This record gives sequence, C-alpha cells and structure tokens, in this order.
Amino acid sequence: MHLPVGKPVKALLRSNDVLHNYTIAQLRVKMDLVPGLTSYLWFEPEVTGRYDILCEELCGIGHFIMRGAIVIDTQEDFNTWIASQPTFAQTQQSAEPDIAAGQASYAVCSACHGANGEGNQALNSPKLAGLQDWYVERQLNHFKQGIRGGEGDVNGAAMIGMANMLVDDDAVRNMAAYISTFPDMPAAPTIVEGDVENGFDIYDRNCAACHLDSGSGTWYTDAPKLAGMSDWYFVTQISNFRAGIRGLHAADPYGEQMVSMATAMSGLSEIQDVAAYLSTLR
Amino acid sequence: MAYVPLADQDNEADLHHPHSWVTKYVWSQDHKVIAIQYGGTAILVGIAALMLSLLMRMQLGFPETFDLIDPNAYYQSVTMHGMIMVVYMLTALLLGGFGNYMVPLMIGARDMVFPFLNMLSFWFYLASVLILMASFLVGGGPTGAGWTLYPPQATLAGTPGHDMGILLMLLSLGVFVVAFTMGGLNYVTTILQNRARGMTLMRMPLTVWGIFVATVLGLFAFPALLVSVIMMTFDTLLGTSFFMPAIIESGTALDHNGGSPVLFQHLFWFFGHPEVYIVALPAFGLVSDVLSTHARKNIFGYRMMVWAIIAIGGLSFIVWAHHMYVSGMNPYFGFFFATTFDHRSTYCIKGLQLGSNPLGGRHTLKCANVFCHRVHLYLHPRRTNRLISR
Repeated sequence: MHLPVGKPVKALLRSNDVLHNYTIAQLRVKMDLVPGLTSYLWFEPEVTGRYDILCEELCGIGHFIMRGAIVIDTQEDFNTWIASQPTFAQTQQSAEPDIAAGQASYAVCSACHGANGEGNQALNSPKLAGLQDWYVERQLNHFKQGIRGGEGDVNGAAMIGMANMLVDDDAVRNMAAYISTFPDMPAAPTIVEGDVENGFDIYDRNCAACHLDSGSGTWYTDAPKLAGMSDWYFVTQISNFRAGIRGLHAADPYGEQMVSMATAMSGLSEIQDVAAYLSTLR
Repeated sequence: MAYVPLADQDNEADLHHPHSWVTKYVWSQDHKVIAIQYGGTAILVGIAALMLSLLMRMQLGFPETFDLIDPNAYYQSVTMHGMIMVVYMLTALLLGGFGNYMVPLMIGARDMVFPFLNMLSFWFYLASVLILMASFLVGGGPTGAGWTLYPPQATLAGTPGHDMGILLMLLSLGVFVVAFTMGGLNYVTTILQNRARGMTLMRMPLTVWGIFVATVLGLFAFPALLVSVIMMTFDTLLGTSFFMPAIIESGTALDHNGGSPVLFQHLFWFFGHPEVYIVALPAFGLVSDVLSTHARKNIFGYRMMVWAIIAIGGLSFIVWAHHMYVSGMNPYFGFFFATTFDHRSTYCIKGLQLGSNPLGGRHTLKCANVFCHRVHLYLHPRRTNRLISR
C-alpha cells in the first residue's frame, strides 16, 4: 500500500477470520484486527521509504510469514501511483471476459497442455482444467513479467514466451475465463511410491488451512486447487519453492509464503507422500 | 479472634494417623509429604517444558536445519512451554510446594486445617498435569494457540491442536483451578485460624505473608480463568458464541454470531495479571526471609513490607488491561490501566528495604543469600519500570 508523507492517516482495521495485528515498527504503528469489530488507529508517516507491515498477533501457522509492504511516497509520487490505479467505478464497469477470444488464443497452448487442458507429462505441461480463473490470471501475469520462469526454472522459462503472446490484461482475463470452462477430470496419478497416510498427516497439519481439506483451494486464502491436478507437477513446484527457484521474486508475495510453507515437507519422499495423498482427493 | 489450641488440650484424634506405607507416602495427608509431592511433580513437568524450550532455541538458533520443528511444532512448543511453566510449574511449586511445607511450620500449626482436602488438591493437580500431557498424544497434537489461548484462532483450522489439543488444555486448566481452590481455601483458613498462641498476623514471617496474599489473589483471579475456559469449551463443543463473532474459517462461514474475542482477553488477563503476582509474592516473601536470616538481622521495616505485599496484591486487580493496549479495546480505556505505574511505589518500598537490610548486619555469603541479592534487580526503584509494564 502507498501513503503520502506528512498526512495523518486513520486506518480502519477489520478481520474476517481470526485476530491479526497491523504493525509498522518504523512508524510506531501497532493495532490488533479483531473479527466482529472495527478497530482504528491514527498515525502520521514522516519519512519516505518502504517498510514492512507485520502481523503481530499469533494467528495460526502462517503468522510468521504474514507480511505486507507499505511505501511512504512524496506527494507527487503518491499522486502518480493513485492515478495508475483503477477507480472503483472503473472496476464495476469492466466487461465480462470474452470466452470465445480466450478459446482462440488457447489454440497454441493446446499443443502442449491438451485440447481440454488435461496436461501432458511428456511435454512438461501440467493439467490446467480445474484451476481457478483468478489463479490462472495471476500465473500468466507472473510469466509475462518474468516473476515466474526465472533462473533455475527450466520448464517455466518456455512459458515466458508463451504468456507474452497474450498482448494485454484483457487477453489474459479471456484466456483464464476460457480455461475455467474446461471439464475437470482428475489427472491420472503417476507417483506410486508415496505414503498416503504420511501425506495426509503433513497436508492436514500444514496445508489444509489454506488449500482446504478437500484440496480445492479458495480465493479467500489465495490457494490454488490441488486435488486432481498433475501430481508430478506438484512435486516439481514444491521442489522449486523449497529451492527458492519459485517464489522469491520481489513482486510475488504469495510465492514468498509458499517458500516457507513448502518446508513442511522435509525431502523428496515427503513431497511424494503429499502428492500421493492429493491424488486420492476429488 | 483466632482459635488457639493449647498444646495439652489439643484434640489428637482430629489429626490423621497413617497406617501403612501407602497412606504415609502416597495418599498422605501430611502437609510436608504433600509439599514434596507438589514440588516433585512441578519440577518434573517443568523439565518437560524445559525440553520444549530447547526445541524452540534450536529452531531459532539454526533455522532451516531441523525438519522436525515445523511451524506447527514450534507453536506447540511455545504454547505448552508457556502454560506449563507459568501455571503447572511455578504456581504449583511456589504455592503448592513451598506453601504447603512452610506455612504450618512457620505459623506454629500442627498441619493444615483440612488435611484431606490438602491431599485431594494434590491429586487433582496431578490429574490436571496428566490431562495436559495427554494432549501430546492425541491426533493433531497439543494446542499451538500461544499460552494465552486467544479465541477465535485457538479452535479454528490453521492453529495446531485445534481439534483435540485445545479441549484437553481447557479441561486440564479447569481441573487445575479446582485443585487450586481446594488448596487455596485451606491455606487461607489455616493462616487465619491456626496460628500458634502469640503468633499474631504482624509477627508472621514474610514468607507466610507472601503466600497468604498470593493465595487470596488466586482465589479471586482463578475463577475468571475458569469461566473463560468453560465458555471457550462451550463455544467449541456446543456451538455457542461467547467469544466467536460472525467468522469465516478457511473460506467457509461458520455458524457463530455476536461473540467477542476481546471478552476472552479481558477475562484471561483479569486472571493473568494477578497470576504473575501469585507467582511473585511467595518469592518476594522468601527472599525477605532468606536475606534477613543471612544478615543475622531482622528485616528492615517489617510493617511496611507487609503493607507493600498487600498493596501489590490489591493493585494487581486493577491493571489487567496493560496486556491489552493494542487489543482493539477503547484506547481511552488504556489510560486507566497506565496506573500500572502506581505499582512502582510498592515495589520501591520493597526494593529499598531489601537493599538496606544487609547494612549493619553480619553477612554470610551463602548461595541462597547471594541468589536473593539478585532479586533487587526487580525491585530497584530505577529498574522496575521496564519490567512491570511490558
């Protein structure tokens, strides 16, 4: 979030789920967010800069990685930033995505990802059918901007070029909307050596809070669907998160959370255990 | 007017007489045996909590190294270490252990006035410890909600032990409160009623004063914990909404409506602040007695020390929200609780007196004595501010 320097700010703090906290140490700001009431806080930023917003009320296992950023701008920079954001009216007026246009753009993708987005392991292309449209949109944008597919991501590098064939945000939205129309048939499991019980244990303690017990993910926690997706791709991506190949780009706050959460699996065998468990979910 | 039994008219038949090894050392009603049982159990469970703190330190010192200590295990360690140390170790050791042993001896009583209740309180305490340790064995493990167990997160997905661990913790706390109440009534009655002839209240050793005021604090404060524990249990098991507002758990709206998480915080800290004085006052009293004994001198300003203990205890009930300045409660409310600083004056009294006690006395540098001199760090007028309003 951005704020102009030197102007007093009243922050209204609300929570939907549990107690959280809003803390910016350098601005001497700290106030709990309490579900069921709106707490508030006045502060006046005096020095420009970029600061971390921390959660300082234990809120669950993601508490340590629950972090945001605040940029205190000069008035001119703030005006520039505000002008580049859509207004509320504009967000309400955005048109429905054009699924036909998305279908037309998808033609080139079907060569690897399959006509119905079922994926193709031989071509290192994961299953797309079943993924939520907001997630596909975000990942396509990440590929376009080089946030994903960076150094070490052998297969992701190819996606950067593919994603850049979508010329603008509307094209990305249309593509995501088309992908979300695919019929969702569960992918055939390929990981046979995983221990489903251990996988369940790890998933239930660490992953289910965001990705849900059913593995369906939810927009609410920015968690993509895992159930019924390509298990070999899950192994690759978790390994990439653990190695810092994915998720450490400065513009990827969700990836940063996954880098830490992926340490819930201690090694390849535990990753395979969770993959085997996910294959049993529908 | 206390009942003062004369030695030759004392009714011996009222006292317990152990008949076998079991009734002498296990189901004993003798306050010294019960004290050792309390102390031994407290230290054992404290060692378990010490192991948990080592797990925490290993993770902090060498992150990325220990796969066993994932965020779940870390938060569980934090929670269980805190709760065990504060409640099950310190309160039990200082009040149950030292209290049971010292009080009857120091006031000249034969035993506590309710020896059977004394014994029961230990076994209920042991039961509460076993229930708490059982939470390590259930599916999901012990609760990882932090020692303050704040709702709504304590019972929702995303917090370790949100299914069974938290329920066992709540049950264990409830049983502990029952044990404490039994023991607490025992101490208060013994100190008020069973002092030997000539042992007036203002002649009691400061250890007894510390334990007495701490017990009174506990009898007033623990019920707040008990009700909050019961209400949280009802919220979890019966779907009531004492502390649960309209809430979303992992994307699904739950059935609760209208509760207040801040209510739990008020109730908990109404207990939580006196709790730290329940733990500190017996220690202050012990330090006073050890220092004066080793200096071969009466404690300086005994009367003021007694009033300082009483004032610390009394004031501790009006400062609980200094744990809640940023909780989202009305910020103007916070001004009232800055009266925490008035506590300073009571500490100063103790600090100055303890500090001046050795003057003019013959000092022996025994281990206990040197240890007690460290306590002045807490009570020194200039240093106390930092420590009492965190």
